Amino acid sequence: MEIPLSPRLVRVNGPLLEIEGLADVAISELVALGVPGIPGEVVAIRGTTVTVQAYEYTGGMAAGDPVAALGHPLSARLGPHLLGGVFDGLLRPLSGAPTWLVPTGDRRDQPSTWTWQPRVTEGETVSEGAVLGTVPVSNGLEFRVLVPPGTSGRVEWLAPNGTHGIQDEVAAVSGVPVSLTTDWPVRRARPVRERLKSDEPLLTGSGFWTPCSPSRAVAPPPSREASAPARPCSFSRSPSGAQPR
Amino acid sequence: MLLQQIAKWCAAEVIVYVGCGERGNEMADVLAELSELADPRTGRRLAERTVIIANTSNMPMMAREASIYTGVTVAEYFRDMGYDAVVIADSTSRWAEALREFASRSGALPAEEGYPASLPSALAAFYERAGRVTTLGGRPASVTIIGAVSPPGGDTTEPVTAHTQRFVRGVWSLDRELAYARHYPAVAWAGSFSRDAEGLGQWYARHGDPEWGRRRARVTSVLAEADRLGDLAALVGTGSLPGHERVVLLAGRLLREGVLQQNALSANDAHCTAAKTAALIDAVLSVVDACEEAVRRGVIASEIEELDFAPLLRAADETPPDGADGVLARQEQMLDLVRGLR
Repeated sequence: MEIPLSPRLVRVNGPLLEIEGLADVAISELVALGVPGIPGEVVAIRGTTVTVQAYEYTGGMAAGDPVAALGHPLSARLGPHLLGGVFDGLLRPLSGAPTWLVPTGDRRDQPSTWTWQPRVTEGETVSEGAVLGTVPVSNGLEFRVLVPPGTSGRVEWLAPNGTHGIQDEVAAVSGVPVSLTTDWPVRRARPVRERLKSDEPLLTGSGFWTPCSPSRAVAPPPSREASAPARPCSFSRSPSGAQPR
Repeated sequence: MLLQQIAKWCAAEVIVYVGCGERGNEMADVLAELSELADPRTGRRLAERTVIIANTSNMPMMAREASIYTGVTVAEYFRDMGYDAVVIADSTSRWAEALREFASRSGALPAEEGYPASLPSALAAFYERAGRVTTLGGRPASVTIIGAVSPPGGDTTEPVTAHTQRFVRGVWSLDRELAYARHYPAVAWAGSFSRDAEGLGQWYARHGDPEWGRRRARVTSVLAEADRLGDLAALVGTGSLPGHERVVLLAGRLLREGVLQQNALSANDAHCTAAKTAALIDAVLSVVDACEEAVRRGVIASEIEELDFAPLLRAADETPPDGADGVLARQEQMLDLVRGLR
């Protein structure tokens, strides 16, 4: 009789790893690799062999190391702490200067507290995307806590005006808890009610191209081609501005 | 530098800067400069409404692959609150290299230049997330994606550049020659394009500038014609060209130096409103019209060329960023000068 093995690494090739024995994982799901539990994303499944791309340096990983499925896709933690912050590609905060480009061991969200000001009242009926409350952030921008996509109904509970931790629940809408932060899978576009025609310019103020340059339509993505030649631009550090077509 | 100018002055509420695969030093420079920059609109630090996602070339490669999606997700998050967000991705070429590196390890069949066959769909998945929308909450908002592409050796036919051009609505093509010629910003008029010129013309028309489309078309054609004649003049000498063609050459020079070049270090010129830009272009074009008129009534082209065009060329630098009046006065001054030629 075959004894079911716990999932383990069988191959490490740079950021590409193969796992045997990991049942019930889906493509794009996150797994924790090895003892340090570095994050990886499932990119291929063939029978019981799962191929993973690791999001961190895989030095020290060996065949036979344990693996655990995390049960959710690669998600970003979105919240008021983002503004003014520096993060790595998975949106984990990078520590402060002078080593801020080096990911440190502890990259959990720093504890922080925010002032919550509700905008609705308990018992009110709200639809998805409605503003539940606001959080004042330093730059004068009004940070809005919204009813999450796919949720609507009665506001069953609302935290009073006051200070809250970044992950504290501040409201519940038809049974769905809402906190100051939200997790969202990065590969999925956040839903909108309607996409509009892209006929509005993004005024860059970087003047002259405004007139002749329709490129910066707010909507569609203008792309700059920097090309190596672009670099002279940056080392001469002086003039720049904008322009045509 | 160009991207920083955009970040500093653009009319967006939230800026997401994704530094993927750039050198650590370069990224540190960007961080240091961003944290010093004052936000011209609020007087506070620009960094306060900026989210920086850093994945330098020495950081784990696959996080670079995720970083541009992370960046656009952050922008969408603020968009859903009803804001206009800009994502600056520098550079998508380094991002594509991460895709390529992983694809070659996984044994995928290499497509063009070793990039995986999924490169176009991955690029599209990124750029398609930009746009103006009505959010679920009913607020108008937008995400603009500005992706830098660094084609190796300036080869714009390489896969990342070619596919990017398919999916984007506009391209600013930076030109080495212009940069060497000290023409900043070094955006080449020949290689840059927009697919939204018509829609924007209508937008400007609705917002009090019905002439925008016509003005843009005229500037574009004058620049193209001046480039063509410039090549010819380099061959046969300016002196052997007929008068009206020498005026076109002059028009190209006035547009390049008086309108297109912009000085990021000048208080007046670093930022330019649409109204001032329109006034500058109108001033140059009306002076050009007057020069053509002068050639027709028999003035010798070299006499026109010897006029002092400095008031016009310095109008951008010497008049306030939101004032069209100063430009108008200089336009009249120049027109009198040209009309006075015999």
